[in-house]
Amino acid sequence: MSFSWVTPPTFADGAGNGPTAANFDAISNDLGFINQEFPIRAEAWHRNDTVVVGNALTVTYSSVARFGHFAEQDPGADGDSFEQSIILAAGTYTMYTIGRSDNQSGKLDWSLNGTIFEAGQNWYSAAPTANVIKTVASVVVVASGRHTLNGTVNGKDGSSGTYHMHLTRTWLVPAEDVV
Amino acid sequence: MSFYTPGDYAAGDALSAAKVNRDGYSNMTWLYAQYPQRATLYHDESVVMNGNAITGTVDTAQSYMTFFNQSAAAINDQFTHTVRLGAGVYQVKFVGQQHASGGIFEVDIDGASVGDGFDAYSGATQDNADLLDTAFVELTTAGVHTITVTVYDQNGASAGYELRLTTIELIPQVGDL
Repeated sequence: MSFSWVTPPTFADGAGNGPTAANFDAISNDLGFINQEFPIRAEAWHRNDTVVVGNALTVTYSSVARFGHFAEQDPGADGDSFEQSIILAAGTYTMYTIGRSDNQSGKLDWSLNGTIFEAGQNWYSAAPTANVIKTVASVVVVASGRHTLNGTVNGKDGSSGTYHMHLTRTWLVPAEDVV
Repeated sequence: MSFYTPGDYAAGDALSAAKVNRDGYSNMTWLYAQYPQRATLYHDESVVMNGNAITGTVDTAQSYMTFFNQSAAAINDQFTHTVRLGAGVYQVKFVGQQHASGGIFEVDIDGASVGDGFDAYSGATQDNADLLDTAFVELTTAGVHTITVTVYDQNGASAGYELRLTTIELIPQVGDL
């Protein structure tokens, strides 16, 4: 069902002035419109995340990184955790995260509103590599509104030396846009 | 106008026009007025409708040190993006790079044309160019709006159909144009 905005009705006191069923339907329609018009994209810059566990985020500027920087909890440790709220419409999304992989990086668990939807995302690589994009398909947002996106370091690749995370940005995109 | 805490009725209370107007008209109108009036959209969040995937390139001379484009580019490349904005008149900027392989493209919002003939070609590379060269759109309603971009031609001097774009930016304008 699709809703279009209409100017809500107003009333005066007195018999016969309503509100009528049609008046309530008009207000309900506008509530439907407001609920329908939530964003269908979201982005979270890692530098703006709130640290839940671990050291503060520091920003490193880089001439080889898209957007010119990455952020990390420094020094990183197993169990480091960060989060940010995002506002999204209900739907199914693909989530992308861009950052730098290297031989000191850990693994990430991603959760939305406390439910893990991606576990063990491995940011290790033998050689430092800028602009690595990790993709998580079919992230389901059950209801429109504000959601908490959390990343938590959970272990590391057997070849990795530490648990660092060098991330720039995470964003969620729908499968298609409705024109 | 501000938002009033709704729902202070008690059992047996008669509905008053003041309360109904507050919960209905005033609060709903307030919510409708709270849509954003500016937006910056990153091109890597676009959804490709036709053509190859979008890739990114680091360019230290470009805003955000980055531009994105469908690669390899071809005629009829098409992508969409969405923006949640209030009603009003906006300048639409396509911050990108004009270069020797730029294509010619058109822009629609919600199916209505913003314009066509936008030329991303330049013999000498131009970073941080507004590829729309000052374009405006009127959004008659608040809500989520869909931007559709289609590459449909090329400059006679261009070597390709690329559209190198970093951000789409919408900036409110005061009054009618």
